Amino acid sequence: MALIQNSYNYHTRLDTFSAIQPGSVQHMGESTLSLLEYFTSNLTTLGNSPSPTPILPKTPVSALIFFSALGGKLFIVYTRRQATIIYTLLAGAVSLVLWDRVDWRNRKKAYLLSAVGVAGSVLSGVIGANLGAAFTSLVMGRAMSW
Amino acid sequence: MSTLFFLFVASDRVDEEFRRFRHEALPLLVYGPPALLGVVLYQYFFVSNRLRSPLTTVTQDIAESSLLEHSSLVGLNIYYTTFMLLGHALGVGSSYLFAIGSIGSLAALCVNDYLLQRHQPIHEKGLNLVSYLVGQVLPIMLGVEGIIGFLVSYLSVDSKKSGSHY
Repeated sequence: MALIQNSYNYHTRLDTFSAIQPGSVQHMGESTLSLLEYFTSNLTTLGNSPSPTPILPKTPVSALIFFSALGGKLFIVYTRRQATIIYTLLAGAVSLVLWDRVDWRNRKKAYLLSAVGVAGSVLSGVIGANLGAAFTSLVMGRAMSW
Repeated sequence: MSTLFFLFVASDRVDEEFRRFRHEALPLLVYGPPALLGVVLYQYFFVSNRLRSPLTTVTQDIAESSLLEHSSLVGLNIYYTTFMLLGHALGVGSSYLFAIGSIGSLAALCVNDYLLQRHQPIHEKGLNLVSYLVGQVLPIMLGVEGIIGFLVSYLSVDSKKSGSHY
């Protein structure tokens, strides 16, 4: 039941009481109450409530894609079906631009090498960072000593 | 290598007060340079060395640099788009991060080729410096927070393993 705002502060020195936003406690209380109502309803084996919370139709979370940005000021939600349409259109636009702007006939080798090179660079970056970590840990014996 | 050397020298000077969370940005200095070194070495040996001529004229060198710049941006676009589609097909919701990268690199490519470098022949198109800026706007505004939210789960596990407190 972590609070959703500014999650990048979690477990850091910035994770202090002063960082808790007004309304967070209310939000947590409402979530707790909903959980209690559910656990005490007839919907569970723990149920002993005479008036269980009605089951409302909901879109399952697994069918949604959502993320926040700009410090939580922007919250974007769309369904997987919409994502399929958006991503397909985006891939189509990319294909169109690359077909138009790249000299595939004469420069194919350069563009293919560069495309593979991005994935290779990502892998090399991971290997480089891990070699650095291995050096500080195994050779210096100072893992996470900062 | 210089960072590792610095760490090796500094390792004898750190004490118990020099603990995690007081200097939580320092891992960037520790892991960033080796990661960048890996990227640069890969690009130098497996991409640049295969495309550049060992002996060139100034004009040819400029043309080859332009080709490398342009093909790198196109490669980035292909990479983001491919992983976006693959990730989404596998049901990975975080594929939106690749979608953001794809839109950013596509915007940079369009601005560069259709606006800033439109008078250049297609085989001499390099990247205008503004294109680098355009390509970073969306990832910085929308993507960074998603990456941090993704990495914070590792931080949580990591901090428990190290047994550190703040």
